[in-house]
Amino acid sequence: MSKTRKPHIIGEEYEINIVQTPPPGPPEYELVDAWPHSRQVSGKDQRTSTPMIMSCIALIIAIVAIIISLGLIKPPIILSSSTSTVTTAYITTTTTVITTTTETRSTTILLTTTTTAYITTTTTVTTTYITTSTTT
Amino acid sequence: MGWHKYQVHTFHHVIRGIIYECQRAMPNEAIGFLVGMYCNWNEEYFTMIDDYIPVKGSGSPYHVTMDASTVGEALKILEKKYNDTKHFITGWYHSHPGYGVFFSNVDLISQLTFFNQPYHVALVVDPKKSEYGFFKLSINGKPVKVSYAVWRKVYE
Repeated sequence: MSKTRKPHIIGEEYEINIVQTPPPGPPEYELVDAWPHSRQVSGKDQRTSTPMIMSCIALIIAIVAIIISLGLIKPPIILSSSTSTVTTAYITTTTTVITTTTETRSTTILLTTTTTAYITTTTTVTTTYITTSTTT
Repeated sequence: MGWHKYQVHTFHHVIRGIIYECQRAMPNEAIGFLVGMYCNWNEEYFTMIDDYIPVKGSGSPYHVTMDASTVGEALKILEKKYNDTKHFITGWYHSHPGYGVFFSNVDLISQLTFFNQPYHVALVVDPKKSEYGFFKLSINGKPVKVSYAVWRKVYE
């Protein structure tokens, strides 16, 4: 059974049939290409979906690598405050003040000082976020 | 540009043939008619394209026009090949060699003037990139991309 309509085609009017039929489909037909949905796709769309998956995997690997590298770059900072008692000696103290800016996740060395001191009495060195190496 | 859920069903040999015609016309644009049926199934209307008729036209890399005489020839071919009440011209195709699949303002004027029925679709092909897309007019007369499915007989 078919319905009819009067269409306007290139300046002419004539009746056309609206055909009552299902769209092509399996098992008689296989889908070669479709937009926007790719159902049971063979050929072209399969080729395009593989690089998509690979790109996603590459992106995840890149993100993980960035996170790991940021963790490695971060210098070993002595977080605890330490108190040490030093008796009479020549002491060379190298103090490096390191700050970490959280916004850019980069490490900036603000100040490096090398001091040599002759200490005769008991000295207390307290460091916070400071690495101290002592050579006697 | 919007997207419409209206469906176009066509066949691999039709798309392959149209792309070939467009590649043959390069660097100029190619133009022709889409032949098919207006179908209904489960209250869903769709356009089924099962053939095409290339039309001679005067073309350049950036425009193409159909010659009036060749339009008459194309309609004669249609009558000869499909002597039934089901097949008719369901739209047109043309190429954009190397500059992508889109619907230009000139294309829109052609669509509004000659292919303004709900079953009329336009196929735009970029033969350089082997890309293509189907367009039609929305209720508001704006061009929209429509979904399509390209099928191939299993024994092919």
